[in-house]
Amino acid sequence: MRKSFLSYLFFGVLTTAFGQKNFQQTKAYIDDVKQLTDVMIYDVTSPVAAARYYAYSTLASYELMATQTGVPYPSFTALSKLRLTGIPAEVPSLQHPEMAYRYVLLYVGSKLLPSGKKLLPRAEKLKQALPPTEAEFVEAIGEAVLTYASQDGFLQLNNLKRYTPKRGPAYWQPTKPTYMAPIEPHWNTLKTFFLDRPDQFLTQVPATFDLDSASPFYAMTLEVKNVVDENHKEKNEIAAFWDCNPYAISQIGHLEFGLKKISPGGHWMGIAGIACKKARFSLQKTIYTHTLLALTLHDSFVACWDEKYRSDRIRPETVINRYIDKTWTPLLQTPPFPEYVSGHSVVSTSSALILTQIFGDNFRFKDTTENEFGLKPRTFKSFNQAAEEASISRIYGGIHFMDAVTEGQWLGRQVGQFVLQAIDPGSPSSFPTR
Amino acid sequence: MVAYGTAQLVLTAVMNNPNVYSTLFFFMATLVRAQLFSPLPAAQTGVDFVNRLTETPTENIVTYEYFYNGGGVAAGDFNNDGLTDLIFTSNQQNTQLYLNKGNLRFENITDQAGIDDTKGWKTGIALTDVNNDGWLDIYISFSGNFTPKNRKNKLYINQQNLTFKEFAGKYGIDDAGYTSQSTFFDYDQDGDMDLFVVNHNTKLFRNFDAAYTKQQIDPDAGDRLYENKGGRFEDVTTRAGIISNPIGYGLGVVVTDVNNDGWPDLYVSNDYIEQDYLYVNQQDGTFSDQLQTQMVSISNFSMGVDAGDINNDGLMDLVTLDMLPEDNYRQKLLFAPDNFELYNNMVDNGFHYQSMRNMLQLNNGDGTFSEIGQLAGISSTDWSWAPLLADFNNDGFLDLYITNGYGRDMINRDVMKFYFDERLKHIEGKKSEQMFDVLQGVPSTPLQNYLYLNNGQYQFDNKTLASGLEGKDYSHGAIYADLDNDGDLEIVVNCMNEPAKLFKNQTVENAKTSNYLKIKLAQDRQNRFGFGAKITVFTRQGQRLTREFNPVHGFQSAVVEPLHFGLGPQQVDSIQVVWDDRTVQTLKKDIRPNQLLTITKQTSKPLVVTAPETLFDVHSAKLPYKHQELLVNDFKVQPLLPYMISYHGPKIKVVDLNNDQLDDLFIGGPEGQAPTILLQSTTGEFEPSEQPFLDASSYYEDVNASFFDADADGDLDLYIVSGGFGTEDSGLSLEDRLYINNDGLFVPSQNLPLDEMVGSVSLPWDFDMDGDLDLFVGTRVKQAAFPQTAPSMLLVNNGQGRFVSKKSKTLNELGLVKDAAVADFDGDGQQELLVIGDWDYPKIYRFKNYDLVEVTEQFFDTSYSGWWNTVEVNDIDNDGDLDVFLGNWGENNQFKTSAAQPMELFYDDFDGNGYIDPIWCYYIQGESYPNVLRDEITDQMVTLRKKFVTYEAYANATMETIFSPEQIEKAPKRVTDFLATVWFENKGGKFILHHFPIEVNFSSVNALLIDDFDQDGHKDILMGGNTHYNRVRIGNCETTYGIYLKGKGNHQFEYVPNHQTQISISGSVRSLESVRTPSGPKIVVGINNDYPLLLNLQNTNR
Repeated sequence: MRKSFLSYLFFGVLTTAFGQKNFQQTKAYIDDVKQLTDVMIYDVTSPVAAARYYAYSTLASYELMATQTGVPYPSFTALSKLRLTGIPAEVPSLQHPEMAYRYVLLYVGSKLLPSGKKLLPRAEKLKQALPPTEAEFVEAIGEAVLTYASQDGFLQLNNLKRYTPKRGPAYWQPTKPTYMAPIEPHWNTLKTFFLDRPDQFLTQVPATFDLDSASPFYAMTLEVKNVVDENHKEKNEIAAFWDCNPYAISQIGHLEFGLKKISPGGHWMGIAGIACKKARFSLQKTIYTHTLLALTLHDSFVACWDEKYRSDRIRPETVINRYIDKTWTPLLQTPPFPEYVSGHSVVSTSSALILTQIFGDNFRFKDTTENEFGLKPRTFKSFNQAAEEASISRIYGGIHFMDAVTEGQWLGRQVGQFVLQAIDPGSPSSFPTR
Repeated sequence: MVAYGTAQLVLTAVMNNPNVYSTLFFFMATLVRAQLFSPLPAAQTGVDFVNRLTETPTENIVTYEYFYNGGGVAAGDFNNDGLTDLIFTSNQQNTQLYLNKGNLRFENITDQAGIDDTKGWKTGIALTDVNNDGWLDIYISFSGNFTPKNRKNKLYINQQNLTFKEFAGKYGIDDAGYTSQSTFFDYDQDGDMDLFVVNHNTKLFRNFDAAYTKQQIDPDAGDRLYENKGGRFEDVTTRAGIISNPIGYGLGVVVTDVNNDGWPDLYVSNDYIEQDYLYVNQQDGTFSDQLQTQMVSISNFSMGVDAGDINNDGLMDLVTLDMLPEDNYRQKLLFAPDNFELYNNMVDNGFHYQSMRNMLQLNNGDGTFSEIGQLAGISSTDWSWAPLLADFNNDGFLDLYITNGYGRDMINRDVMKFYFDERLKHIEGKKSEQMFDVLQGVPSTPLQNYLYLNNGQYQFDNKTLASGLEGKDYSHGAIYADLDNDGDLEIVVNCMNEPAKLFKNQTVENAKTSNYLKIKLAQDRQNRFGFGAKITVFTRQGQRLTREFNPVHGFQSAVVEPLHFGLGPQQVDSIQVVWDDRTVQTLKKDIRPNQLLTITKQTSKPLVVTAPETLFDVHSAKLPYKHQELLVNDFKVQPLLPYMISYHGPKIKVVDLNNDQLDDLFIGGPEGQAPTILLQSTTGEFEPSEQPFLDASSYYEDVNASFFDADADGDLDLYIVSGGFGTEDSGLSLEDRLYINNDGLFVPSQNLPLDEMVGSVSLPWDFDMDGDLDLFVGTRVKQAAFPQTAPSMLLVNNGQGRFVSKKSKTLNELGLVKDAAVADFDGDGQQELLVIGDWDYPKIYRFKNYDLVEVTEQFFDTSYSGWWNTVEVNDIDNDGDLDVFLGNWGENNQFKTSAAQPMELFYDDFDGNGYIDPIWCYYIQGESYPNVLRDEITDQMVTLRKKFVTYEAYANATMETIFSPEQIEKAPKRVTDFLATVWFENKGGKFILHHFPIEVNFSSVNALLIDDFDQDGHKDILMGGNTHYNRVRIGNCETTYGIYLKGKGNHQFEYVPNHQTQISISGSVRSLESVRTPSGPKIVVGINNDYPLLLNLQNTNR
């Protein structure tokens, strides 16, 4: 990758063959995003935090792009709740806009992510290709986004009272093997990009906790247990493919270690990259696609987390261990937060909506994002098909009840549609979708 | 000794030169008192044993989790030639037997002896005489990732000619479980040796499923008890009440008689989640596990265990080992952040209170133990295996030797978080090979073993390096034995991948004035060796030294040889032997020290277990009220708190409300529970008083109260201080309340200024000296912003019960007030205010010019900054002035503090997010470090995540590396340098510091009651304390059971143990008050989250 990137740099200066050059930059940008993903995996970034990091990093590229004349993408300050301060009044016409867009992505990433300095070598190379005054401007845009990010409530999360598991049979309890405290109980206090309120779209209340064998809750519990016990090869593969648990913990004696994977948001960012490459998108369209997806992911997670800590529902594993089979273990490791609604269902559904809007339905693609974790690629004929599979995979994995999946999908649709309406109120042509 | 002679010469030469005298004296001292031990090389001793461990893809820590547990060693005389021989187990190779040829030379006779343990995984060694022929037999335990056939434990019967024959199958004890260690003992006292086998699981059961698996029985992983029935052993595990579940993970066992009833009890130490077992022999063939009722805090990952009487009180104490490192660096690398949910899950599921550190359980002799390992200084010796309690310097007190070291740093948090994932991703191949490959990169850290010398006052000094024991290794089993028969104890250590170590003890050579006694037991028919006997040597100087003759000690190791007693300069008065059949034999005749004494059984006098002499007859009754906490967690509000602010009740006030000369009680309620008044009837019964207005005030946390006549109508009105920690959204109300007494009904008064302070104490005090009672009200802390303070209050009474708040700048400066007292300390006719709190020194104020003026320096020459809890004022010496008694946090802690190395608390909004971050620092090995772990500090100050990506990066972090000089400069700081409970004698208006006996500082003191309880003319002190709810890493600090100090006059107090006072108060005591009842004075004890007790102390020895 690095070799082609460097050889491109050489060519980039000399050639004016726009199409080829631009597509090389598309691939390089997608690779930049993957670098962000890798650092997040390294840091064991939670799914919600990952979405937020993607949002601000890609946003910086996008907003820089939106300053340039002739670019058909307006600033998100006009399309969302985003407000930026500190943008220099004088906007230079960038000599190497592609380098600048990519640089600011990594610049913001390097400042946001805990191990962001791992991005610096790559960022520095891009910076060197920029005239100093341009670099200054680019960094000012980055700083404007960082300033906004610093005021979105994230830094105030630790002021809020830590979560204590509620008493009562219906409520979430810490789960094995390490009984971790639940992730980010106050994530709903964060600013969103589009949603007016985190509880703007209220799902149905989850099925009432009820151990009566005729109750819907009990039926759903058995459904989860049966599907895991069935040990069906393809269902197991599907569950593993969409596991997206950033930190599944293994224990051997005193040894305890985490096996890391991408988060659900990281998986969909990967799919976006695959799709952009397949469609041979320009860099501008690619940036637009990634940014819109990332902002949607963030809003989806905020809405989802709002519901999770409102319903604070118990996990199937806890119910089954308590009342049915004390030794039962789900196929996937239960992630450390309440069950309702399924986060993967929410974000997959909203992501698919966004990508379908951009690439169209029946966009066939081979999903190779999980290759590096030793999982075979899966081919989908549409984003919606992938999202459906991602959602149901949580049942196969034994970590969610069915109503958390269906209501999660409903919530994802509401968030996705709301985003689409916000950026394109009633006039589909005002925005290039392809 | 050459060194001795040289030093004397030098000394003589320079005696007249005073300038070099002191230097030389030091030099002399080091030379003359040569090192306690001297290591002897294998080439010299012939002990060339190595526990050679080879990792392969099929045999490693992943395929067998006890791969790095190491081997054992046993010392015993196998040919009855009077010289103690040695035997070592190797995990992967053959067991090795070394014959003692005298002069510390040994010969390997394994091959001739017929010991063949080449196959299988060897662990512990037990010694006994199973066939009672007077010759020692050997029992080898087996475990490992092997088939049952290769896991069968082996019994080598001594053929009386230095050969052995394996007969485990014939005897029925070829146990094929996963065994760490076994021990023989005569649990049913029928004269033959029974067998207890400690097993562990090789499958992973950790925290989960625990409550369920606890109930199961596992034939391979569960412990087992075999009864010897005439040479054939029978499995009696279930019948005898032995727990045999799959999660025991037993690593150690020791036989000891904890209750001095003459029957052998057992302590089994368990790794991981399952708590240890304290099996008390029920004298009927069964055992009862009483760990949870007798002990409060136990080690979490318990390794080896030993029993011994560390304070020479005739009661057997226990030491269990764990994994807490001594140094800050490894603590920070290895410690998991506090997980309250996990901890509560453990407690709720019946696994008791476990903390990762070595524990020293001091036997109180009344069915309770006090865990004092931290005060003793032995809590932190890293990944430790064998504790050996023995008198290594022959001074009459048991010392402690500890082995440690683990093959690989499996719990290094960087390895967990980064290394494994990265490596696994890059390795192709079969899973077993992958894991093997990954393992090769996990670091290993050899560790220094520890030698602690007992100072006779519960404290152990680390003398490892000064004793010639320097050397880092991976050492497991170890044993002591007098291998050269010179009267002191050598140490032999089984090490991984290096030769076993043999340390020669040089005590006898070094100090000719130090006496010893070795005692060998003999019986004619049964149990010829006298196993299970307990010997007490009474010295002329009044000490009693107790040893039990049970072979298995420490970790996977055993010793059978004459019992060793160091005497120091003392002479022997008498010796008492309690034989295994509970007959007693006493030797009184002129017993010379420094000899081997053989005592042959000549008695049939039965042991009479007499009730000990007691000070009181104690009758204890519960009051008809239960204090019930909401179980709030202050750390969820402010994660970096050093300790909780909540859980300070119940505050009990004693008052005669109906003027019947019988005391009534006011009990403050925690949040969620209303304050309660219990009225005493003429028959001494306590009944709740109907108080609708009080009943309606359960949304306050009542932290204190005062009864006084506010409105000058002749009856007692009630002021209640509200406090608690909470948050603004918790619904907790903070304003204090005044209730006017209306014929016994307490009616709320509005004549009080509104306050929103977290209160702590109220004191009626006519500070303006206008004849009515005003109030001082102390403030604990600024809500949810520890350790920021908020102003205390002076409430001025207008004479009719209307109060206005007196503003004063000084009220902001009183600190984190916990308690206060008003008294005329200097006899000038005006009362002063004494204020105490935490992270502060006791302060004294005078009311002057309508304000408080600090006059502390008039009274105290030195400021003692503590975590003060409570103050009592009393003229203890009857000299007409008032002395001061101050309860403090106590000294049984990880954190140590002194004026030179104080604890510091920096607090500021370091990351600028509008929130106070308290950083608590204390010294570890000479450097001050923040207590907070990497995950905890980065969770609280997210900007630090970038600075400390790895645990390694944070592991050496100090305030200076975490924050900028400007941040530290700007941050306010509080200091604590004194954690002992003490008292101050008032001597002409000056306070003179007096210490109490050390037992007072086993735990916090939160309540004090002073009275002449035993009516001998000297005032005594009863103290209560303990702190149940703490940071997970600190654990449950309920160590004391009601401390009684007998006044001896002349400012002296004597600690009287609980088994003598008969006082036994469990839990966290928050109030101690005297109550007048129809049957005389009693004591009411307020216990947090429990029923208050009414104690009646009746004098027995007047």
